[in-house]
Amino acid sequence: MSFDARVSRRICSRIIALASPLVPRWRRAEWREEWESEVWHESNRLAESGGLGGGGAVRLAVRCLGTFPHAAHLRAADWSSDMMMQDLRYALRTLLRKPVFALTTVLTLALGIGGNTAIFSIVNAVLLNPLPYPEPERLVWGNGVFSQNNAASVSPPDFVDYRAQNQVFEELAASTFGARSMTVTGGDSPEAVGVASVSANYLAALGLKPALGRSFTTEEEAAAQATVVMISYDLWQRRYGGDPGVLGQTIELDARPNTIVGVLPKGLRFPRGSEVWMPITLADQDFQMRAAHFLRLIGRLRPGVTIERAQADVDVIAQRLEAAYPNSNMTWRLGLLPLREQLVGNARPALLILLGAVGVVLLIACANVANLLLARASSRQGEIAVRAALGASRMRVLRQLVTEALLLSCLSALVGLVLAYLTLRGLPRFAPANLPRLEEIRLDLTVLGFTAALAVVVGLAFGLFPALQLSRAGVAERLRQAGRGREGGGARMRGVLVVTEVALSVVLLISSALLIRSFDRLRGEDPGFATDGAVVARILLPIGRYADPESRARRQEEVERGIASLRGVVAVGAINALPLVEFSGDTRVYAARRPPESNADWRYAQIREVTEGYFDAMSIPFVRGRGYNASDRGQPMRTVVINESLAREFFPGEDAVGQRLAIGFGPASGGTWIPPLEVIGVVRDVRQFTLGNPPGAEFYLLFSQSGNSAGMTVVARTSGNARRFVGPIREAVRSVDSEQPLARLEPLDAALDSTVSNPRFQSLLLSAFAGLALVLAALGVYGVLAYAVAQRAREIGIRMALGAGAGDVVRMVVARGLLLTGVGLGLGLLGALAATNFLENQLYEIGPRDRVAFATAPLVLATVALFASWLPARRAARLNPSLALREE
Amino acid sequence: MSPRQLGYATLAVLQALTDGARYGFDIVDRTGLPSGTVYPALASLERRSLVTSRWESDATARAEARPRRRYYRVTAEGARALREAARRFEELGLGGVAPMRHTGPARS
Repeated sequence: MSFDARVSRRICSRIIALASPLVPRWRRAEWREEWESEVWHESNRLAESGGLGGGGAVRLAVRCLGTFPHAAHLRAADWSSDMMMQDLRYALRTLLRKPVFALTTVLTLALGIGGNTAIFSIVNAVLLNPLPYPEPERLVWGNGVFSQNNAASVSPPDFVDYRAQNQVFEELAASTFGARSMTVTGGDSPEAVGVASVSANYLAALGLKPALGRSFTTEEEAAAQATVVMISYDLWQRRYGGDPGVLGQTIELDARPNTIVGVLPKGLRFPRGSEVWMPITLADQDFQMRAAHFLRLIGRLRPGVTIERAQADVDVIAQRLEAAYPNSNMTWRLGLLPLREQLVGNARPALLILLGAVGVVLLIACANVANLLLARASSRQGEIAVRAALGASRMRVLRQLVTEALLLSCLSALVGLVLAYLTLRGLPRFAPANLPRLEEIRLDLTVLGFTAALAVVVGLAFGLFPALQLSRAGVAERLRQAGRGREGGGARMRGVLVVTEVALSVVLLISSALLIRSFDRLRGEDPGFATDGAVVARILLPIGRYADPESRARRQEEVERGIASLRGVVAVGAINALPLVEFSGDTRVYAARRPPESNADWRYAQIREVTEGYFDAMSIPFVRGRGYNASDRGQPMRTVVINESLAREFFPGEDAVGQRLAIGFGPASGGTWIPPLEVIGVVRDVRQFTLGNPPGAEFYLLFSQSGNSAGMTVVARTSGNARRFVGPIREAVRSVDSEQPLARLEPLDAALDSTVSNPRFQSLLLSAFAGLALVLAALGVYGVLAYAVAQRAREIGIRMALGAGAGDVVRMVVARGLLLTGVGLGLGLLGALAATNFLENQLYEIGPRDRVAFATAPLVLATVALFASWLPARRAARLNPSLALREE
Repeated sequence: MSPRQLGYATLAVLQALTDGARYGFDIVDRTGLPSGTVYPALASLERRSLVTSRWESDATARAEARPRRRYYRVTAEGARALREAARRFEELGLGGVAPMRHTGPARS
């Protein structure tokens, strides 16, 4: 044979040898012989015909690469579907034989997978899914930005100029911020609906078309009064049964007739909470003031325009406006950001933290199950050895064990899906009221895919280690070890898993302790008024029914008198916007003696309207001077009550009472001056927007004098349990006017509860996760020790026979538990130092390194771990030495 | 036979055997298909009893001072399956099943 033929043959042999492990072992010899033989014959033929040169040898080598698909094909055929079913049946039988083990495992994992599915579906709907509008990436949000605030509103004249002068928007549209409550009147069933005023091109900017009818016209937008409305799809279905004849019908809102010209697309609830759209009314006097900011903008960028370019474009317009109207526009800009960011940006950090936490819980659950499997693996040594002895290859055994793990994880995923479904169904009840896109949250295909992937990953994560461990040792070794009183090779792995569990639980416990403490601080914050024993009721005083301020004030007084006459009600008053719960507006103010020198020096203060009894009813004490009383009634507006912050800011170092305060925008901005008001009293500050924000300057006008608000919130201070007064107060209001709409009627503390629903949701969920983690970690410690005690019964028996007392045995076992816990605690503390940084922005008035949290959480875990170690230790101490020794 | 129909490559292998090919590399030559296609096709044909194989006797091989070869042969069932497939192909206007090309001389 030629030299060429030999070299060529050697290369081919190498290739065949490389592919051969893929071939099932029982066919390998035959397979190899066939290929070697074919190569021998072919290379011989080529050598004889002189074809080995000229690429023949290369072609032969390439042909030998066919060994790989061939080998893979044989392997795949070997793993036929029959075998898969066989594996599954066997796995199922194995699980059913140990139902407690199976149940524990499935429940543990189901909690982990279910939690992850639920949180992921929230994250998916809120953060990942694109906004439900065409080409949502082109949508931007516009805030007013000025020296003191970068999330203010925009004035209507500014909006009109931005819309006319920009070169970057396909559409730039405006709406009032949020929705205001109005009552559908004139029918059989009055109901409260959210109403927003929008520019004519609002729907077009979102890229949508009406489901029925038309949008507003530019003439309707330019009018002085709104006479047409669009209604939401839901309202159309609910109130009009989906009748297409609704177009042209009249709907009475706060006793004013409006013509329905269109129905909004199904599912659209934007601006947030709106069910009725009205056109903005640019000819109305309120819409003419450049200094009165109450619109928010949305824009659809022209194709290809970046948000940076758009920002540069509107900045140029802002500078032009500032030069033209320095009195109102000094330092004002229009700030653009992606609409998606505006809607969900605030929710992102909290949701990601929850997703991380629930992921950690799943990791712990996996570690726990891996531990259980490892423990069981040792007791299955004998079974595996027998299977191997009967001819099962290592691959076959591995497949069997992984099939079992996947069966467990898939069962758990199914149970987890049910848990997630139930959680999401209950979500609207405990989710924070301001969680964006709440209505879009559901178990969709993406979520199901996520859960399926999770099941596989989880199954491999906890199944592969024990399977590898178990399938490794040689047959003889395993047969020898089976049933022996020794811990086996998995002991170290189990220790590592428990340490990991403890460490991860510590991180979660510390994080949740931080959030709980922060939440406590927030709840403990003094709002500045007494929250117990008061009931609040929102009285709507629609301008359509009460045209003049006097009639509104009269009705308000009648209602208050009716409530005050109830037994047990000790004080009654009202305010146009309840602090922390409802929002009022702000306006420009200055001390009359010191007018601002330039437009940039203007300061703003919150403005609220109250009735005489308000400060008493809220238990807001006076620091100086007096409140409004009967002598102010019927007088023109000459006096004002201010808060401490305003006094400090505008009258520093002097007595504010008797000073004069100038309020308003002035004619230069399209408003009118009112004469400066005399300060008659200074009240203590109350928190205005959130419990976490310190109060700012604020002043209170007397409702019967200023009379602007179309609704007042009555506060009734009672001498007893506020909840019991809800019914009587409703009756009292009804007896004044049976048709008087009530938009809110609840105890004051219940109304305030919603203002902390966000941090509560977060700390509640994180605590639940941490609690779960703690239980799982404790189970882990317990499981490892209990197993070790059972395996080492013989050794313990010998020790006791040699004179070790029960105390020694307990010490030995507990020491092992504490060692594992201690190492885990140390690692967990290090991990927490890094992890809690992510929490920093979620914490109120405590740092991410808060000592109490860092001390308490490990203490809790150590206590639980001690208990978990003590149980198996006690069992070990009660061993009967002679029985333990005889059991072999 | 399983109800699953035979793919083109499998049919080509069957046809090559019918045409007189006897061992793996011969089929590769006759069909022009890559060896990574031909061998799996042979394996599945054998599993479905459309093809059988036998090793030539050690004595024959030793007498010729070469390793023994594995020979493949179409079974009666395989021949039927090939006829049936050819009929279907013709119905579809695709012509008969034939090796796609001959790259070398047919050897036995």
